[in-house]
Amino acid sequence: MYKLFLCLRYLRSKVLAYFAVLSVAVCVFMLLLVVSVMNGFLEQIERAAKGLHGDVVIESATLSGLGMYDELSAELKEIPEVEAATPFILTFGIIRIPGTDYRQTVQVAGVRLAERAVVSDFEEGLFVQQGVEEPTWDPSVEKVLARLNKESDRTQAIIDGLAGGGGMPESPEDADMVRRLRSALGFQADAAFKLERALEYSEELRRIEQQLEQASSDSTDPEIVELAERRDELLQRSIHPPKYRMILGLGIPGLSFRMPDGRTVRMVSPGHEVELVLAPLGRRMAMADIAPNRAMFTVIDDVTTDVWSVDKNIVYAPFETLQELNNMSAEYSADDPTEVAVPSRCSAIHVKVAPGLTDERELRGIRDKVRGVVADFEHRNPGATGPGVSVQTWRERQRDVIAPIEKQRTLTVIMFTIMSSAMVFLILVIFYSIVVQKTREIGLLKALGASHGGVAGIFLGYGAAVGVVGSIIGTIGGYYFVKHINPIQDWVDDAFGFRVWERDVFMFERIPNQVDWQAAGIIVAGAIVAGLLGAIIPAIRAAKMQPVEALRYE
Amino acid sequence: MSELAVNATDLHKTYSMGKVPLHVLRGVSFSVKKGEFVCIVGASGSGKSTLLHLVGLVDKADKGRIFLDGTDIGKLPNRRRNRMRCGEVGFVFQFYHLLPELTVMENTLLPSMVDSSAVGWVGRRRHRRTQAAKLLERLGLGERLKHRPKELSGGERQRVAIARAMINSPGLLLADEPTGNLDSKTGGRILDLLRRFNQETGQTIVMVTHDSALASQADRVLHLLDGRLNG
Repeated sequence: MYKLFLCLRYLRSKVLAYFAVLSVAVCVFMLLLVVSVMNGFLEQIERAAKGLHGDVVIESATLSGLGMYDELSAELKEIPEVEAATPFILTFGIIRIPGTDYRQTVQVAGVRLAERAVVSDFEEGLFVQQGVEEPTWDPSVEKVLARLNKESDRTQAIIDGLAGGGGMPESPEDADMVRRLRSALGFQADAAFKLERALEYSEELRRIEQQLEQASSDSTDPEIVELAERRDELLQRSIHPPKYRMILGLGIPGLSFRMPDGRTVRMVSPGHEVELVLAPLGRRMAMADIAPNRAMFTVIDDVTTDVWSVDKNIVYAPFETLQELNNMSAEYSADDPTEVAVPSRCSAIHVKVAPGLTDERELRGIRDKVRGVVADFEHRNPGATGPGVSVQTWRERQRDVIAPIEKQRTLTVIMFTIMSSAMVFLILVIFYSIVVQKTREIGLLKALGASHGGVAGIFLGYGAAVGVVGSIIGTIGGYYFVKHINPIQDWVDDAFGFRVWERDVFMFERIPNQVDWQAAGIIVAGAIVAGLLGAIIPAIRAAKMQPVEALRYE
Repeated sequence: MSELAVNATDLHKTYSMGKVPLHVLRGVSFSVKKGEFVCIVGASGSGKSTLLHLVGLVDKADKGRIFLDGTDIGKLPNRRRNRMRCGEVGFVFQFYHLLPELTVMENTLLPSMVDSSAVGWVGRRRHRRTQAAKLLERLGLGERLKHRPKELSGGERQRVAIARAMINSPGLLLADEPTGNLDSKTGGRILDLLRRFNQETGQTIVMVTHDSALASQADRVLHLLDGRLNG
């Protein structure tokens, strides 16, 4: 009993012990912060990678793509662990904003939106259709307009915050920001105007379409000609049909900008028109034959994966439209126009596995099953999928991106662990000093019948208690710091003008602020072990003391 | 059961002072009957405390045998020696050796805690506290239970040390110059207390002092001179 009693009492009454507790708390705090932020950082990268590719990705090694993807997808869905599969096209293109000099190279992803939301959490990052279970290329214009109006209100509120009573702020930086915000507000108003006009024409368009359907097929009928002309005119002035809608990655340079505090302000918004130019790289096409395809799109939404490097570079278009523009549609035989000579193609098939199967080993098992299905499919349909099909888990697919970050995280954690291990020596010095101070008390305890092991136990228990108390304080401190890391940084920025995490240049919108509890458990266990290690030499010294010598110690 | 609380024969003890051996005890033999109050008197450095440490199992003799209540303590394993130190011998030191972090009550209870596991302590804690409170009351410290040693006078500290030595009701109480650090009046009171314990409860006491006047109050006085006992 005396061991527990004395180690707790020493913990309470020795000032030196407070320093030991403090050193443990600081180390636990520091490690928890670094591990949580680094793991959060990696997790976001992984989530983005997974969001882009699903769980398992079947990919063509060449630009000519995979054929018979729907048939293959149907067979893949027969694997019990496979929940969904969707084709995907990824190519390169240039976007242009009509009436401006704006040009930007981008990656263009062709997706089936509803299927995309099943294989990834794509819908979570949407602006207009955020969280909608089955997002569509044809959301209600009212909804898009309402969301855009809200965004305009937000932009106006930011301007009011900076400019106060409507004038210009004194600081040149703020004045410049207000100018940019007003320009963005103008862009947003322009988009809203287009959406309002589309809304206004929608009823008339629907009526004309109905009339044209019911009317005779005589295209020379002046009434029909007039209706058709009116429809074309309205279509010209309205937004493009769902086939030509586009979702922008939120972060494409020039289409939006970030404020220093991390807020993103949209310039080109849902409602705007964008021209997409593609160099189609279809199968059996000589390089000399490649001529650009172009089409006008209406931006209907934007999306963020929380990873800046992905969002700044990508736009999404309807799968079938992109297939057509990229010359990946089916080709028919010259002799028999009904016979498919070359099936329509995609770049990849993204496979979603059943919930809960997230472990990499489980995914590799499913990947092997998918490989089996693909090989069998290829055997039965020679040439359908094209040469060099690869099947990888999302992690394997993004190894080039994830592996260096994992290594960076490991290295950082190792460095901080080495730095933190200094606390073992600090505890050793503190405890050694306590043992020296308490030599006569140790002699007394032995004279009262305490065993060698019992005396050692006091100091080992003391070390463990220092580890436990320091860990609790460090964990609580670390938890609150990590949770509030973004406001803390904002405060530091406001107070001292110093920002560690430059949001306008860094990958992520916000510093990851989720505490990694698994890592916290390991850190706490490590801190307790460190406390014990630091106490072990002093404890041995105390245990070895001869009571008669200790009692006479001066 | 032996009639003798202590029976020591031909005890030798040598310490090394650098390269020079210091023969502190040179064949000391003595015995103490149960219920007896024996005083060992000798000049400073005569080996009084060493003799007490040997009897109290705090140190080991180079030669000779010691029987406590008939048990040859030289042959006991460490575990048994620890148990005897805790339960059968009580020690009172000249410099009290109270733990400064603990209160009067906690210092008194320390040997009981050493004698108990954490689980065992839960069961006997209340009883032990009552026992300690009574003992401290008897020693005139009833109002000081929650005080720390630094808040007590020298005499009070020594009374706490006596309470601590008596809490496990040991068969033998060893007092090493218990009044050596106190003024004569306070020292006299401490001696009265020990004497009272001896008379009222039949507590066997072996006390070491260099003060012949105090020693005269004991049942028997042994003189230690140059490592040998006379008287």
